[in-house]
Amino acid sequence: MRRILEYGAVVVIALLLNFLLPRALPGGPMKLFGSPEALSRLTEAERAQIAQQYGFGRPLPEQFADYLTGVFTLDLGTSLSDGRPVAEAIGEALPWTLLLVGTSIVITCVLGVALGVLGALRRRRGGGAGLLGTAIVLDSLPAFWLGMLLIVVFGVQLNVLPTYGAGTLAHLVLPVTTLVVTGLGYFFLYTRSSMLTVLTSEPVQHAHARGVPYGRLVRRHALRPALLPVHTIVLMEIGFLAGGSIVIETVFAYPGLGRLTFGAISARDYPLMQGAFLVLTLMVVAMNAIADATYPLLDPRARQ
Amino acid sequence: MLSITGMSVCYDGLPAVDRVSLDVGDGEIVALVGESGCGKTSLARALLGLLPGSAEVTGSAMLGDDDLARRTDWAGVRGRKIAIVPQGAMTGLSPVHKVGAQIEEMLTLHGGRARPGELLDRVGLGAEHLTCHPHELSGGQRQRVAIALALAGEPSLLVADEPTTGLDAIVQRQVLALLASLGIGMLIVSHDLAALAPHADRVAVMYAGRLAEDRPKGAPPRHPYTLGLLTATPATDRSIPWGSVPGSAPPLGQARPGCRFAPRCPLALDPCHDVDPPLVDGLACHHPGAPVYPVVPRSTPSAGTAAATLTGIRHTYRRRGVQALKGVDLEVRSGEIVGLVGESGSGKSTLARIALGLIKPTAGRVVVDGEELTGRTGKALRLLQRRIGFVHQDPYDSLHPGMRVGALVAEPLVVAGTPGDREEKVLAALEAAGLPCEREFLRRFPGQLSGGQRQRVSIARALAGEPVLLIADEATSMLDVSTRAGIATTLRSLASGRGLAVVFVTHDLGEAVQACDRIVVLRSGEIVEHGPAADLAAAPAHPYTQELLK
Repeated sequence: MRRILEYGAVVVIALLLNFLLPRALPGGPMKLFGSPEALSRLTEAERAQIAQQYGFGRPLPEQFADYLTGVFTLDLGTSLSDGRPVAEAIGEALPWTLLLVGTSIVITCVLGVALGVLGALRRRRGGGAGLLGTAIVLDSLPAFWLGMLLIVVFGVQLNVLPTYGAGTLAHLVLPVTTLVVTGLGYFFLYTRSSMLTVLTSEPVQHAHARGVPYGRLVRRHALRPALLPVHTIVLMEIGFLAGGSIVIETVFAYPGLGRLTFGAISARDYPLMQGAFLVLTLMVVAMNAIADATYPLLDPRARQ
Repeated sequence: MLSITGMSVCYDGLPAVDRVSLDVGDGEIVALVGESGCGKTSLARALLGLLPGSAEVTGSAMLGDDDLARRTDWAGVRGRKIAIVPQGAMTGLSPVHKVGAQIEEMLTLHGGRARPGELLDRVGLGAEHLTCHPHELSGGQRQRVAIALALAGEPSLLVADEPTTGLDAIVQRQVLALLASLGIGMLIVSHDLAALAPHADRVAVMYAGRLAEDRPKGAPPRHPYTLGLLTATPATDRSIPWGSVPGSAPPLGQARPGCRFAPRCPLALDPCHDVDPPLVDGLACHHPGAPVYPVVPRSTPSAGTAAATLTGIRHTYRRRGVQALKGVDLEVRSGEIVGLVGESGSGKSTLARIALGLIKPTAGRVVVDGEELTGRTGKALRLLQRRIGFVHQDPYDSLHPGMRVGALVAEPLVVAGTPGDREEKVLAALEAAGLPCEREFLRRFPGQLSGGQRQRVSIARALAGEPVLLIADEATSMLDVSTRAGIATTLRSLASGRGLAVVFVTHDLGEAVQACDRIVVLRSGEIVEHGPAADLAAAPAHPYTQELLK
């Protein structure tokens, strides 16, 4: 019950920020209505009329009340830039993002965790050091740079893969690769350090002293405690990525939430921004809630 | 059954165990006793091949016709022929598996024929605990589970490494009685000679890597170090004095030639410093006899003014819903030492923290040096707190490793902004705490000091602020047995010399009986008994106190 109230409070505060932050950006949606020269010829009265008509000229508390009502009645308003309902725009973009993010997070997670465990077990050998070095390099690669590199190599020079848009499996290859490669290091490093801590912990050392063979020690005694913190960060990462990866989607012109958000921010399209942020907020909160709710299943100490 | 001959364990060439020979017969219980760093744990772990890669084992350890010292493949041996209850076993159970599953695993791995319920029954736990996770059990119950896990493979030899450390006194006795009743060959490693002696068929005492004495049950102890350990164990009878062995054991690889104990031995003569005494007839000593060790002086009741008065203290930890204190009154007068005795969870640490003003009691008043502490905040609170000194339980964590002794002890003066020559005050505090009053000592780092010296630095730091009240929270519990009485002696001299009021928090009623003027026994947040130490020790009124005094 207390948890539910806490999550409720988080959502309300996030809603307020989602509403205020776009309006705190310099500039405004007026530039959607014409070139700067055209706009400069408008009289004050005309400007006010446009603002009034599209809803961004009214007092802030009034706008916020409207926005809240909208959120709870699932009416997110109309986009200022193309007049489409915001819900429709998001509804179109969300499945694409979920496809991209879902695919890459599954691959990143499986690969990262498996290599992390391996890296911990082989920490004193050459292979382990190599993995660690590679992971640190990957973790510090900028995603846009890798994305552009892949476009140049596979799209332009070799011309084997599509470099923009979405629709077929081939369209997914480059953005997913970019997301996996740049996200892998984080999961690897996290799993590795967690596993190393658990391997030297008393329960594992004592199981070793009781004669539990090495393989069983790793599989049964070390793996589950080591993956407890990994479980939490995986779910949180899903929450963040579900809001769309702005950089990747922009680089590959992928029609997902990230690109939608980017467009909305550039145009100061308040309703669309609010809608995109709302999805991100709800995803992050929902994933945290899932992490909270499922953690006790894995760790008996957290059960009441 | 187990025969260790000339076994040494070296770390990077430095011997932690030096040519030790020891036998454990069939069904025999051998206690291997010594203080931290004496090599007892290295010896025990060498028997199961559990030493780190940097350790080198020489000599032999024959278990039947199997030389454990030469073994490299431990499959089928560890857990099956020789099993261990590791040190800190209470925290070493798998947190994510049920007790039943953990026992099942051992049975499957080591081919045990018992059923899990039977094993639990053997260690005195009901079968209903099979479905529990370790965190649902008490420390004593977890220790029993660890013993059950070790028994699963039906080993012929059981090694128990410090099986009672971290347990409450009454539970310690129960666990030792359980181990003694199992009827299998056992090597129990411990620092607690007095507790083990009644249960062991033989007692072997180690000092600085060497075996000092190896005597059968009933034979009188002869080695001066053994006698020192015995006098250093506080008796609950006030007619038996509590002594300490001055000095500290040599660090790894710094033992001098001759008898290792000679630098600390009151009986040492010239040959002791040159010739290493061989173990003859179970004793390695040139001059056995009865050494005289310094003892804690007996107190004279004082009639000072009240330094601290706590009235009607109640405290509830709201988050956990635990009522830690249920209305406690305590008065400490200047010049007296009050023992605050209780087991874990009795509320003694909470009471100490309330007296320090670190936590606010739910109800009740704290008056220190005539001024009310409760209700103060910010600067007013800090000013009054300066009149209270505090010595923490852990001398290893409570001193900043990067600060020198001089800076550590001067800190209260710096905080208070005391003008004038701080060094003189620091040196005076060091001397009062029983440390060398030298400028060179001020430049040492905590890492260069022994545990006892660190705890004295902690006392000196508390003294530098010239407090009227000193709270020592389990100040002796992490120190070597042989040096504990020395700390108590220092506290006594501070109480009678400077009129300092001391609250001596301890879980060991014996220590309180020996070191304090008055004793307050706490249990589940309530005072069950209080009174002058002599009366309370001679005629305990409450059954709980009687149980503790056993």
